[in-house]
Amino acid sequence: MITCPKPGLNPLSKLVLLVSFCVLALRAESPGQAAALCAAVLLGHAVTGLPPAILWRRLRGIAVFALVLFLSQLFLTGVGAPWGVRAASGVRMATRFLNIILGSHLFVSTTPAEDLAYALMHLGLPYRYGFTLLVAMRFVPYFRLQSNTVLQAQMVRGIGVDRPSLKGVWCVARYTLVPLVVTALGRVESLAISMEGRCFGLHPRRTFLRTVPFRPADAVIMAAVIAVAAAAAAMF
Amino acid sequence: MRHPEEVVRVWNLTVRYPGNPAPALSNVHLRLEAGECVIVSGPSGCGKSTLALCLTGFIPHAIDAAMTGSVRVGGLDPGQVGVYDLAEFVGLVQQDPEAQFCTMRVEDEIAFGPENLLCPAEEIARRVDWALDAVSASHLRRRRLAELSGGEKQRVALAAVLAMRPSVLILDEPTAHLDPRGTGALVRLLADMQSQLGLAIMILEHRPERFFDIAHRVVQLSDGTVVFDGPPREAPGRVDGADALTPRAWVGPRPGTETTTGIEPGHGSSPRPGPPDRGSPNPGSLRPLPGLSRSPQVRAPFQRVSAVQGCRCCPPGTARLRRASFEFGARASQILDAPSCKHRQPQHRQGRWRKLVAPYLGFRAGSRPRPDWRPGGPEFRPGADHNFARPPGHDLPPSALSDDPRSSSHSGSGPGAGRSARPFAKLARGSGKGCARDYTLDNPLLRVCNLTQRYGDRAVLQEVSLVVGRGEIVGIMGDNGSGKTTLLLSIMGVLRPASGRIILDGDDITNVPVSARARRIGMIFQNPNHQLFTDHVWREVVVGPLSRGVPEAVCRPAAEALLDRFDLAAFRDSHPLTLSYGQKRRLNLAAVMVSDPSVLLLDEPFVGQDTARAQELARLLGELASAGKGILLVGHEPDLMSRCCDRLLFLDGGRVIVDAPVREALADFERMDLHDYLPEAWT
Repeated sequence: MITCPKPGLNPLSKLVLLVSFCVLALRAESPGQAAALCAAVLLGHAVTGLPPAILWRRLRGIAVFALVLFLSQLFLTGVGAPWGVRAASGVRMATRFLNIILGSHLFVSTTPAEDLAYALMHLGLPYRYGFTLLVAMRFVPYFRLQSNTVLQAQMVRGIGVDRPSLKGVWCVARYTLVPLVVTALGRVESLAISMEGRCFGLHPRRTFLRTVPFRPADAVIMAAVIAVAAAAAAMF
Repeated sequence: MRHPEEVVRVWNLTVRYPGNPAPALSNVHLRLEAGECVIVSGPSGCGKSTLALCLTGFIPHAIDAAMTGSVRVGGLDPGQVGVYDLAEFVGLVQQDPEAQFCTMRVEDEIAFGPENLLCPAEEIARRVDWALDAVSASHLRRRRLAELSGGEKQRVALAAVLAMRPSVLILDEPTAHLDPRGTGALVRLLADMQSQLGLAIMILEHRPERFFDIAHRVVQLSDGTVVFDGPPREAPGRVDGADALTPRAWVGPRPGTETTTGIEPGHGSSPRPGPPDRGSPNPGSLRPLPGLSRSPQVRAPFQRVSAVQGCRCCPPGTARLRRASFEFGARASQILDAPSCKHRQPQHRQGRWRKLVAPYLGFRAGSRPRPDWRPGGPEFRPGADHNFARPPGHDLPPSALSDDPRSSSHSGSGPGAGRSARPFAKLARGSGKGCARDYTLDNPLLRVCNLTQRYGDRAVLQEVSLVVGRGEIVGIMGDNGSGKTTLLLSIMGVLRPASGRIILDGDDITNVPVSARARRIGMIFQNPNHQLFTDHVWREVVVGPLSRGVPEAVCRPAAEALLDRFDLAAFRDSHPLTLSYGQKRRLNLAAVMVSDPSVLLLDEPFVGQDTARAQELARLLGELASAGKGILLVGHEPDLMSRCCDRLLFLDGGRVIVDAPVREALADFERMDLHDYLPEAWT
C-alpha cells in the first residue's frame, strides 16, 4: 500500500481551499479586502518555501498584465467618472486577477497532478477520466521537449527563428505543427498498445495500490474553510 | 500437435494490411517453448512488429489487417480471444519505454496492470516487489519516471509487463534507446530473468548479434517470410566481422590516403571489403556532390578572401599546394606560410570586406580569418596580438588554441591559463592516468577549444577540445547524458557555450548566430521526422535557402542535383512523411547539403536502422567525406562506428577522455574497462 509521498493536505482539501479563495477574491470589493487576500496567498507561498525571486520570475508576466488591466480601467473605461472611482475599479480588477492566479499557482505548486487524479478517482471519478488527466500531464513535458527539438532542427536548417521577427514566428508556427503531430501520433499509438496490453478498460472499475489519505485534519480544514468563505462572502 | 512445453505456435500465418497488396507476413511458421529465448531478426519492414502484434492480439482486434493461418499463444487463439485475454500470457515491451508509460511514478506504473485486473492491494504490492526484484530495480521504487535514465526506464517498462505475470515476453527493439553500457546491462538482465523465471523470451531485433549469448535460436525474416530458423552462430547474413576493426571500412578511404590509420596487416585490415551493394567507394568514381554554393550567384557572398584559395602575389597552383599541405604535412605549408607572401595577412582588404559582409553573415567584423594555429609558425608569437576574435571574457592565451604539448609551457598567467595548460587533457577512468597521445592536425577544418557548457549550475561539457580535418570522419561515443548531443548543439550554435571557442576553417564562429552557421555547418538529428517541415519533398530541400532569402531559381540546380544524387527525384512531389525511413534520412541529408556546408554534424543517425540501411548511410557519409567535408558523428554502435570513422572520441561526464585513431581508441576503451564500447570482433 502506498500513500502520497509527502504527508500533507489531501488534494481535495486543497481544491476546496482554492475554490473558496477564488469565490472570496471575486467577491472582494474594497482594495483592503483584496490586499488582505493577496497577503494571505503570498503568505501561503512563503510557507511552501518558494523563494520570492523564483515566484517573481514565474509570475512577472502576470503582474505586467495586471498592471495593464489597472491602466485600462483607469483610462479607457468609465470616462467622465471621477478618477478615484476609476482607480478603485482598476485596483479591484487587477487584484482579483492577481489573487486568482496566485491562488491557482499555489495550488499547482503544492499538488502533484497524479495525487489530484488519484484523489478524484478515489472520490468516484471514472478511472478513464482520471487517467486522461494523468496521460495529459505526461504529454506536457513531452510536447515541450519535442517542440524544442523541432525548433532546434529549424534553426540548424537556417530557418530564421533565432532572430525574433514576424516572419520567424510564422515559420515556427508553420514548420512546427507537422513534425509535432507526427511524433505525437506515434506516441499515442505506443501508449494505447501499452495500456490495452495491460488490460486498461477490462473492467468498469479497478483497484488501486496508491491511496490518498483523507485525514481528520482535512475534514476540519475543509469545514472551516467553507464556513469562513461563506461568512466572508455574506459580509462582503 | 502441440508440444507440451510449447507456449507459442504459429502455423502458416499470412497477414495483409488493407491497401497493400504485398503481405506483411507470408506463410510464417514459428514455435517458442517455455524457457526459450528466440531472436526474430530481419531488416526494417520485414514483418517483425506485425508478428508481435499478431501474438498479442492487436491484430486482428485493434489493428485492421486480414490474418490467415493458425496462431496459438498459451493455447489461446488470438483471433478468437481478445487482447485482454492474452495479456496474462504474453507481454509486449515496445521500443521506446518512455512512450508506454501512463503514470508519473515507478510504483504506479508497475502496479498499473494488476490494478486493471482487479487484484487486491496486497497482491498488487507483492507483484510490484517481485517485478522490481526481477529486473534488479527495487531501488527505483519511489522514484519519478521523469528522473530515470534510459536504462532505468527500460527496466521499469520490463517490470511493468512482468507484473502481469506473462509466460511469454516480447521485446521490440529493446536496445534502440540504450547506450552500449545499457545494452550490456539489459543482456545480462535478460539472461538472469530467463534462468530464474523460466520465461519464454522473443526479441525482435534487426542487429541480433548483441543477444547471441543468451539466444537459443534465431528466426530471420525477409519480406515477411522466414528465411532461417536455427542456432545463432549459423544465422546467415551476419555482417562479416573481417572489416569490423578497419576504420572507414564502410565509407571508403579518406581522400589522399591509400591506407587507413593504425591498422596492422593481418588484423582484419586487408583485404578490405567495400560496401557490398553499391560498388566501390573509391572517391574517384563518385560524382561530385552538388551544393548550393557551387552556383556562382550564391557562392560570391559567402566567399572569403582566403589564403587557401590563393592570392595575387602567390604563384598559380598555390591554392592546390596549400590544400595538399593539409594532407601531406608541413613542407608545403612552410612554403606557403612564408612571410614573403604579402597577402598572408591582407588585413586592410579583408577587414573592409568582412566589415561589409559581417552584418549579413553574422560574423564579427573584427574577426581575423585563418590564423595559423601551429605554434612556432611564422605568424605565431606567444603574447603577440593575433587579432583573433575573442568573445568578451574569453581572452584565452594562444596556448589554448594549440594542441601542441609544448604550448602549455607558455600558458602565461592570464585568465584561462589553467585551462589552456592541458587543452587536450585525457583522463583515464578510475586509474587517474592520462592518455599520453594527442591528436594533431595542421590546418583543421573545425577546431573546438576548451568548450564548456552548463545547464544551470551543472557543467554538461567541461573544457572539451577537438579538431576535425577535411575529409575526416570523427566519431563521438559515450554514455547517455555524457554531453554528446550538447556538444553538437554547441558547435552548431543552438546552445551558447559558457566558455571556449569554435573555429571553423580559420574563422572564430563562437558568436555567430545559428542561422548564419547553418550555411557552413549542417546538422542532422536522430529522428528524421523532427526535420521534415513541409508538404513536398522539393520544398523540403529548398526551404532552408528560401528562408534565408535565396531565390528558388538560384538554389534550384543544386537542389535538383541533390534529389537526383540521393535517389529522391521520383518523389519530388510526394509528401515527405510518405517516404520510407531510409528515404527520409536521405532527404534530411539533401536538405542540409543544399547549403553546401563544410562540416556535417550527425546525432545518432544509425538509431533504429538495420545493417543494410546503416551501410547505405555510411556510404553516403563516405562520399561526403571524399568531397572534403568534415564529419562529426555521434553514435552508440561500436561495430558501426569503428567501420565508419577515422578517429573516435569518448565523452565521459562532459570531458573528452579518449581522442585517438580508431584502433588506438579501441585499445584505450579496453584499458579503461569500457568493454561495452568495443566491437564484437575486437572482443
